Amino acid sequence: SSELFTLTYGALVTQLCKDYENDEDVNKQLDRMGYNIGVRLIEDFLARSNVGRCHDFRETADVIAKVAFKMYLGITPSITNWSPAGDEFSLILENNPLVDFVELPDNHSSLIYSNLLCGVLRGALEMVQMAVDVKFVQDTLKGDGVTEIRMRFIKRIEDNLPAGEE
Amino acid sequence: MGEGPINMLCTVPSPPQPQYRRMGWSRITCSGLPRWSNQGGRGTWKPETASNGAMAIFSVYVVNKAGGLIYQLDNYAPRAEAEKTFSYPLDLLLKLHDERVLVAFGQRDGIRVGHAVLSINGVDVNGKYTADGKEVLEYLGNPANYPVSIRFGRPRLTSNEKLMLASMFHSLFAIGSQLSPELGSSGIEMLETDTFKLHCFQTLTGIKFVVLADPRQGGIDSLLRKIYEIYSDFALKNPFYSLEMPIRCELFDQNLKLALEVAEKAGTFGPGS
Repeated sequence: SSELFTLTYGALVTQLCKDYENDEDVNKQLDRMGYNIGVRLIEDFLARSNVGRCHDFRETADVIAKVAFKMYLGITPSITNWSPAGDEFSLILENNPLVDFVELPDNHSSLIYSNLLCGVLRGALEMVQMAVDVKFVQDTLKGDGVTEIRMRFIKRIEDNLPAGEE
Repeated sequence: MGEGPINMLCTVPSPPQPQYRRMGWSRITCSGLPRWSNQGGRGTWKPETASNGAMAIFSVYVVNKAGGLIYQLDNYAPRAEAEKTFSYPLDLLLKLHDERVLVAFGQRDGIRVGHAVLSINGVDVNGKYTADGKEVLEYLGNPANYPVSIRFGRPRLTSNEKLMLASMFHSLFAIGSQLSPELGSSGIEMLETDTFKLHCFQTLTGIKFVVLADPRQGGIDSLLRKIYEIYSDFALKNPFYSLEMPIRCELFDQNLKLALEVAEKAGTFGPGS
C-alpha cells in the first residue's frame, strides 16, 4: 500500500517547514534531497530496466514517462507541449501519489510540495550525462486541473564521459 | 555502423603457472598440509576434488567513474605452496624484486621461478625482511642459520597493487574504445588468456564491474548484471554509503558471494557468455 509512502513524505515536508519557516528554503531542500535520491535511483533503474542509452531527448522523455514513472510511482504521465526545437516538454500527471489526501494551507502558498520529484529527475539525468532543468508549472494542490512538470534540456555533460560513449 | 559491443580478444601469454598443470588431473593444489617429504623426488600430492568448476570465478573488482578501485573480492583456492628444508648452500637463486624475495632460477619439487619466500622456519616473512627485522637474503647467505625450512609460493597481490592495476585497466578500457576501427565501440569487454577470462561491464553511469573467471565458465554476462543489481541495492540504498567511495557494506559482500556461488554452479561449461 502507498499510504505509508504518502505519510512519510508528508511528515518529511511538514518537518522541513517547521525547520526552515520559509517556503523557498523548503523548496530548495526538497530539490536537494531529490537530487541525492536521483543519483542513486538511476543505477537501480538501469540495473532493473535494462534500457540502453538515449540518444535523443524524445527517447529520454519516453523512457521517463513510460518506464521510470511506471516503475517507481505506478503512474504513466503523458508527454505534451514539445517546444519547436525539441528541447523542452511537459509531463502531465493525472494523479500524483505524493499528494493523496493533501491540502495546501494559505500560509504555504509558494511551497512546491512535490519538488522532490524535480530533484530526482535532475539528479538521475545528470548521472547519465544530461543536464536538465525541471520545474512544476501546474499543481493540483494550487487549484490547477492537472499537475504539469516542465523539463528542459540544457546540455550534454561532456566531462567525465564514460569511455566508449564518444 | 559500429552498433553494439566489440569483443577485444587480447591474447596475453600467461606467466608460468605453478598451481596447476593439465597432466591427467585437472588441478593440483596443496591444501591443508603444505609440507611434504622429498621421497624419490615425487612427494605426495592431494588432487583437487572437482574438475567441475570449484572456484571457477577468481575475483571481482568494482571500479568507480574516476578509475579508483572501490571493491575487490578474491575467490580462489589457496595457491600451491611448497615448504622444504634446505641445507647450505641454497641451490635456488634468489633475488630481490619489488620488496619481495623471489626465486630467480632453479626449480624443483613444486618450487618455481617467480615464487616468493613466504615464511622461514614457520614464521611469515615481511616483504624482504624476516619477522625479526633481518634481511632475508642476508639471513639465507649465512651458513650458521642452516638447516632452514623455507616456504615458497606464488606471491599475492597487495591492495596497493590491486588499486594500481584497477586504474590501469580503467585507462586501457578507454584506449580500447579509441583504438577500434569501428565508430562508437565500447571499451574492453573481454580479455582472454590461457588460464582466465576477464569480463568487464561498464554501466551508463561509468561504473565498471570486472570479473575474472575460468575460461570455461559461462553465464558471466548475467552475473555482471546481477552484480550491478546487488550494487544498486545493497550499496546505493544504504544511506551511509557515499558514492564513489570504497564499498564497506556487509550485506553487499554476503549477497555478492551468494551470487558467485549460484553462477559457479549454474554456469560451468555452459554456453559461452
